[in-house]
Amino acid sequence: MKTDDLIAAISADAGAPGAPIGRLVWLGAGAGILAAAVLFFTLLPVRPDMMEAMATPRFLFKWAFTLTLLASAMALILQLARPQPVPRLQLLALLAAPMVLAAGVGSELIMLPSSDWMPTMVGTNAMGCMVLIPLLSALPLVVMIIALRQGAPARPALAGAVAGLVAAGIAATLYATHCQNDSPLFMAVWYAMATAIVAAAGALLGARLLRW
Amino acid sequence: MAQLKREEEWAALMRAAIDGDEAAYRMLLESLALGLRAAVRRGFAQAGASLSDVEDVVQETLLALHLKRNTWDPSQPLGPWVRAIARHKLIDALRRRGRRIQVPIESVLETLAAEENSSGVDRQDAERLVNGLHGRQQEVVRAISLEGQSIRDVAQRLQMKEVAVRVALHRGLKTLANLHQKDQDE
Repeated sequence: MKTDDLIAAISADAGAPGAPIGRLVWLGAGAGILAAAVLFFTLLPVRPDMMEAMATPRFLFKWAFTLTLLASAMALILQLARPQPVPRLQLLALLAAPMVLAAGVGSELIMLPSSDWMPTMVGTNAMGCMVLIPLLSALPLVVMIIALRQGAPARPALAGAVAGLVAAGIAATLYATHCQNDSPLFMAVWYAMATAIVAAAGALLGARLLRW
Repeated sequence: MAQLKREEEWAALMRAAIDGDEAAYRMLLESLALGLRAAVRRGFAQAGASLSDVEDVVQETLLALHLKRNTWDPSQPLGPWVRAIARHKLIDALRRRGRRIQVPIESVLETLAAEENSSGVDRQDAERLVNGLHGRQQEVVRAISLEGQSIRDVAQRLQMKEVAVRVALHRGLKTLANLHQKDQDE
């Protein structure tokens, strides 16, 4: 086929494309939040002392971390869904959540006697966290990947990984209301590891499903 | 200055195309194809690859920018977005070539021989790609591209509704892009 012939066929298909990619990514995130919330409230009870916990800085810190993760990943994925390269400086947004976490860990180390460090870090239900955060992330990750398939990510694996961070941000925000370990030390190990698992899964999915 | 004016023209043509203006779209794609051909040629030459696949990459890029035009922000210039897509397709094609370097010498010579009369027309492969379409998709894409018929003509000839022709055309173009992709994976 000559290129001119192809152009004839393409131009005959003029008209509005599907929804803009930005809107699709937002829709994906919204659907992901909804799906994860339904699963969460079906599976897990909110911690009994939720009201009191909401007033403690350590609990609020958990949300500060998970929401920073969610917001920074969301800002980035809106860029990564497009073919244009994302400036390196913007990729630094990925450091926002680790920096919040590092600050929390720092203040926790100052406030807690060193004999408490180890037991606090190990916490009471590390395995629950490692299983439930990835589990709650699964649906949001899938819908984000579905939305991104309508995009044209220049770096499919990276886009998948950041979609994983969005999913983990959603899951961890919900899970934080169930989990009674409020220490940044606990989060720095277990939440971070669970997030890394989801991001890795996203990268693998992205490398396969987001090529175009 | 000329660059800036061209950018504005391109963006205006693309906005018209999105509003359904086929003539504007054709004008835009023809103008882009010229630049793309030159750019892909340079890319291939720089990488030391034979120029026989240039038109393939041009066509893949045109298909991609058509099917992915929902990733262009109409408030932004068109050029950087088109170049990003072309770069993506070019890199893909060069990677593919990298893998093909181990082909026997006879077929390398064959490829070189095909190069001389391949400007503007791509290899036999593309014909095979159209043949890879099935049923209505192939009939519609062939009629509109190779035979230059209008959607209305095709609808009459094939006794289809115009909407159905449009759907078949759109699906056909999607399939073509996927066939290119599959071609890469082989």
